[in-house]
Amino acid sequence: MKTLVLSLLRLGDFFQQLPLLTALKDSGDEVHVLVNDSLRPVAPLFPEFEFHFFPREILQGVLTDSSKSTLGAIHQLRVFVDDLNANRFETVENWTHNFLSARLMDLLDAGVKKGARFQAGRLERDKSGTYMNETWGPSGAASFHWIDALALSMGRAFPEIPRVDGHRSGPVLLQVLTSDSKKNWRLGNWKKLANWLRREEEDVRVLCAPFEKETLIREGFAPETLAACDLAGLCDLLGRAKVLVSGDTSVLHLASHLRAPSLGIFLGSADPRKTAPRALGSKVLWADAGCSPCSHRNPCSQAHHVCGEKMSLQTVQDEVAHMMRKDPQPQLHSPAVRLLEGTKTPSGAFALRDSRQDAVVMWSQLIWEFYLNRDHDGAVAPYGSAAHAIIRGWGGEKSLRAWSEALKERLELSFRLLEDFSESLWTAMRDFNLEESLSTASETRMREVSSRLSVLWRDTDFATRLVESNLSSDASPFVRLRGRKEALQEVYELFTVQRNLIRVIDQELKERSAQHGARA
Amino acid sequence: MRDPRKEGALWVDGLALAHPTSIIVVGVGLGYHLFELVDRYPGLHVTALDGKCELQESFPEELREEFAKRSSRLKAIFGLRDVCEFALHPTTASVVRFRAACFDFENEIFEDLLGQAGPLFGRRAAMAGYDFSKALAAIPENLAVNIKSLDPDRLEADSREAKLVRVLRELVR
Repeated sequence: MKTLVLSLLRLGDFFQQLPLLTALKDSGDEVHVLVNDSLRPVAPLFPEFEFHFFPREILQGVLTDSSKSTLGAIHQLRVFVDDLNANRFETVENWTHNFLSARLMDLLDAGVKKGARFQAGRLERDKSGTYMNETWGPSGAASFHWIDALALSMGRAFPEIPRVDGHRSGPVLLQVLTSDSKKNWRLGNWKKLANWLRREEEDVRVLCAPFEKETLIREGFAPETLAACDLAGLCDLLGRAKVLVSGDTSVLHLASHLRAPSLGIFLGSADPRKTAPRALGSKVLWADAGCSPCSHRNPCSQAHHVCGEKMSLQTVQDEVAHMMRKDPQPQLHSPAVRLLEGTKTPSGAFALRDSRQDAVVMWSQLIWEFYLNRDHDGAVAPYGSAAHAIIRGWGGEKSLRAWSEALKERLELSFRLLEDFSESLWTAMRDFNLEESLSTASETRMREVSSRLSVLWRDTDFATRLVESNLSSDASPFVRLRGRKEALQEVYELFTVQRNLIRVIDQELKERSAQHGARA
Repeated sequence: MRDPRKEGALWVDGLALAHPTSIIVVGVGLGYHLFELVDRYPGLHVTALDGKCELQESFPEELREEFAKRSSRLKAIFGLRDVCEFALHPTTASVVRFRAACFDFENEIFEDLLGQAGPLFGRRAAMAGYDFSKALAAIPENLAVNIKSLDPDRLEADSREAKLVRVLRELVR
């Protein structure tokens, strides 16, 4: 099958999508990828895919230059689309999920279209696409890594997760700069780390783009350690690297693809639950400053870089030493820093191992898979086998029972809150019908309820869409009400799935107890 | 029986020009619309473009004389290559298209230059022997239209043009 994938994002996003592209290729598809023209240098590195380049920068240049003809841009886009459609794709999948890509989908011809798309002027999104945009995107406690969420939204199996190769003796690489200053660890710390590594007689290379070299020299980095290379050179280094230490950058994701052991330093808006290096054995140090992760769009909201300050040099140094020399796992110096390791759940999704959160993540992923997979033809695990998977993966029936009881209480309270919300919503809809405006009392009550639900479920993303629906700034009250109604329906279903599954788990545990009792 | 002079005059009426100084007309036809333009607006300079070389060769003598009489303010360029060469030079002149109803043929140069099937765009630019990005950069600003002021809702809802405009508007959002 000839498939076109729209991947109109940045370099790091493309690198993250590689496992999914590879899975598509391995399934026998002829895989074409539409990327922005700025990603041209990537194409020679991945000859297994057929690349097409969206002339984004050229079009934007024409559109924003008053001496140039707008009609020129219209014509150029028309020719581009005609050339693309001449390939006669059978399937087109939108892996970009923004309005630009959705509009472009409307111009592309294919028998099957997946992902966000406009059709006859309306935005078409199935349940999984809605999950991507209205839960996963805004969520502060995402259940899935981006690539697994994307796979779910396309109705595909979770792609294979590579394992890091911990037996390399090549250089230690440091990627010291990111695209966003609030994600940067202090350069002084990076310098000290580099100097320490040199004293440990390691071959240290500080990665940078050619235009960053002068800046780093001015900051005091030894010129001979700087490695300003192109993509091919970077691949060569990463393919041999003993360890890569990096902020949340495209280099980290390329390292996963090339199985380089990596330690990600996640600060600012970087959220490892969504975009950790997706490899078994990859590591992340994540500073929790209360405001983490912050918004991508806004500058740091604090008077000083709180999360960066919590990430001490000693913490990073100790972890690097452990990774290089297989020293015993060090204790973390700062309680505000979490060490997370890439692992895999029983269903094949990526997860970060952290004893505080393992069980919650496993549960959340299972519930979402149950809820979302109803949209696709693939087999849906019945409650019975899901219950077995939970019991097997939990780590103790006693703790599972205790957790189950606590969850049942939480669900009971949640259903009562949902009834409250529902009542306020119906009142608001009735008032809107009569008076064409929304009642303040209903609005306030809905906000209060969703706020309580958000706190109750703060370690998951089940209530995200409901909370976000109250924050909508859409001009139309009707649209806002409809959004809340749909969000209410979704969260009710999610809680119902949990209640049903807990009942089956309880039943299974009772039967096991009875069997043990009988044998005794 | 068609009257090309009258059609030319009606066409100029329809332009509703206000104080024009320089105009590019795509489509030469028999030239009556050009003569009408030059005669009606004393200060106006007109450049007419047509991709068909054979048109010039087939002009009767009297038409050649009409062109010659107005040569200080009327210039005609024939042939695709020469038209493209002309179009590579930036200009702020307004561009209008003449459809020669009396001869019932499409003059493709307007579309070719400024929109739909441009030889200056994409693959056809290479065929014409011009550098694509240079040609794109030199296309004249002939319509004072910003992409944001193009309202796709005024186009037919499911039309290709509406979809193209919507994509472009996302690029400058």
